[in-house]
Amino acid sequence: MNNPYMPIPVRVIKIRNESDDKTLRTFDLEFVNPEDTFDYMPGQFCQLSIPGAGEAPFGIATSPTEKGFLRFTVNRVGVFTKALHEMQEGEIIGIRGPLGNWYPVEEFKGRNVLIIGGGFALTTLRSLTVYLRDKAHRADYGDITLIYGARRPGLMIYRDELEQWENENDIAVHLTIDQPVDGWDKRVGFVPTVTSELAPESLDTWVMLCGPPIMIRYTLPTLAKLGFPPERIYTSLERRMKCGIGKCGRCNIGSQYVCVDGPVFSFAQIEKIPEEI
Amino acid sequence: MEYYKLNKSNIDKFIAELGKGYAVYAPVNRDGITSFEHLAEGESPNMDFLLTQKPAKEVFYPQTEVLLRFDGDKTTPSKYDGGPIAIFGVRPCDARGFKIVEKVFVDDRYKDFYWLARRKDSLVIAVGCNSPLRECFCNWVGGGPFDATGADILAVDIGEEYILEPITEAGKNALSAISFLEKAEQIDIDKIEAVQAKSRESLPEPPELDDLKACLDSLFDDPFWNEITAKCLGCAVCTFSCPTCYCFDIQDETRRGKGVRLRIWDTCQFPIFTKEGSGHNPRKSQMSRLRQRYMHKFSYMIETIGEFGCVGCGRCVAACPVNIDVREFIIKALETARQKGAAS
Repeated sequence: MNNPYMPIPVRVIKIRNESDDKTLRTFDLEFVNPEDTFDYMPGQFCQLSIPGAGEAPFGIATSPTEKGFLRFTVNRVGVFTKALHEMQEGEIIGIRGPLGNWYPVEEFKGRNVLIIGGGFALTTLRSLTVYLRDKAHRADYGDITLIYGARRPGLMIYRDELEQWENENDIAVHLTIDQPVDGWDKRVGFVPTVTSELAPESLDTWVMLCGPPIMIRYTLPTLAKLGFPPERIYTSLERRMKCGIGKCGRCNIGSQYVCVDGPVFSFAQIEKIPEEI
Repeated sequence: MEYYKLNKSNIDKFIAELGKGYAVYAPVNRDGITSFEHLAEGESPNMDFLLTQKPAKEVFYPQTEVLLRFDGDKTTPSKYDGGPIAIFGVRPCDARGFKIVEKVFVDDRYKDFYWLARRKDSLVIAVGCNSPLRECFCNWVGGGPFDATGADILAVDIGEEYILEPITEAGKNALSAISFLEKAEQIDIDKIEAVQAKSRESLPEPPELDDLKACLDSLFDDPFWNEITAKCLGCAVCTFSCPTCYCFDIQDETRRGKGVRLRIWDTCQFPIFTKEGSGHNPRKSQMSRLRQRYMHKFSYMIETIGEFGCVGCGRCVAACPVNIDVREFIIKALETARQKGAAS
């Protein structure tokens, strides 16, 4: 019988610092046994496991269209993430997944997509962007717009890639930081303000919104003013988690478990949940 | 199916027969705590009390359990190898509790490997309750003192003897394999009805709970919760004694690369249960935590498994150090919501 608590071995093949303060680090992992490779969708997450340090959930930052490795960007905040940050390339850790649901890419086929991210919550949005822009899928979608904000340039994750996307013509990329700094010639301002200024057309457009709670709180009214209904605004929620498979009872918001009923929810769904998100 | 009878003087003999095919668990009093334990060779079940303090769920879902073993780079899942389990003397509330926990642990999406290993080929022998306790309220939440849900065999105490009714095929096979058991005669079977009727009469009439979920949903932000939960100490004895509370933690214990990954009963009543790495805690107050427990059992589980996450065993009522009574909560919730509904 399949044991859903048993991690699969993966090798850390590449580690890089993602922020100038070294709190964010990106890990590329490959399966030790190629036959363990699994299929997944943008928005799904995995439990990473280190014996002795435990497990923690992280959104998958690679797209299923990128073969051969899985990418995770991890903020060092606790026991597990500290242990992970101390890992060296070549070491082996465990992984369980893919877990949870994904962005409704089938549902918004033929529509425009507005992707809004803040801080290091760009991980599964990167997965989504790469997936949508892949040559196998790009023709299925209309305009793709990405608005991404960070406090300052040094905290902007996947920066090289984002700057490369700025030069592509199949996606409109708007990068912003909170305060002006020397050498920054792009936008300055909070994500809700930038969204308001850009005033994206809401007709036929679906929104995928991830970021710190404060950003979400102020971006939602902006989107409402622009005419986006809550049914077309999606986000990915987070909660303290243990099992990741709907058993340990920890990550519920109302009757929904973030691990199995989410992590991706529309704001129409969230409005019906009594507890605060 | 055919009924059998078991003279109470033959319980040890019956247990010994069961022991040939099963690891037998039964109620005992060890170190002053009553619980279901694996009977030692020659140990007798203690049938002197109606309900154990610890819920019977721990037979299939131990309070602490090894999930994985680590040794250097090697990780191996722990495997239950204790053989099929028989539980003797479980009460109908606990037996129903197994079914409820099972709906969570074994769903369409994920099947809990460890729960299933212990449940496989198990045999549940429930004993009906002739004299329910003051805190019993199984009849409020879909059960009853002789409800056979979750049982393979239902035993009814008619005085000197138990009448054993096979409920499932497994129960029938187990009973027919025990050669010393006599078939019950009609005169014995007729006694069951009187015992059951007397027991049912002793339980207070339950309130109408069809709209309990709707009432609770309408009260989520009501000040009613502050009043209900004000005296709660957050000790969590209600969750640890509950036959349907299933929440757990996962923790590693390792030393020099060797060790285990454990799962341990956990509780929504402790602040750390939901405290995130960032320090943010979506359930900061004890009010929000007790509300979570009640909402989960009487509203959310209606959505997730189609029934209340409560079997009315009353352990939480008996164990609460500040006398919080879930029945009073239910009645108060119904009253408050209905009044509010009438007012609006």
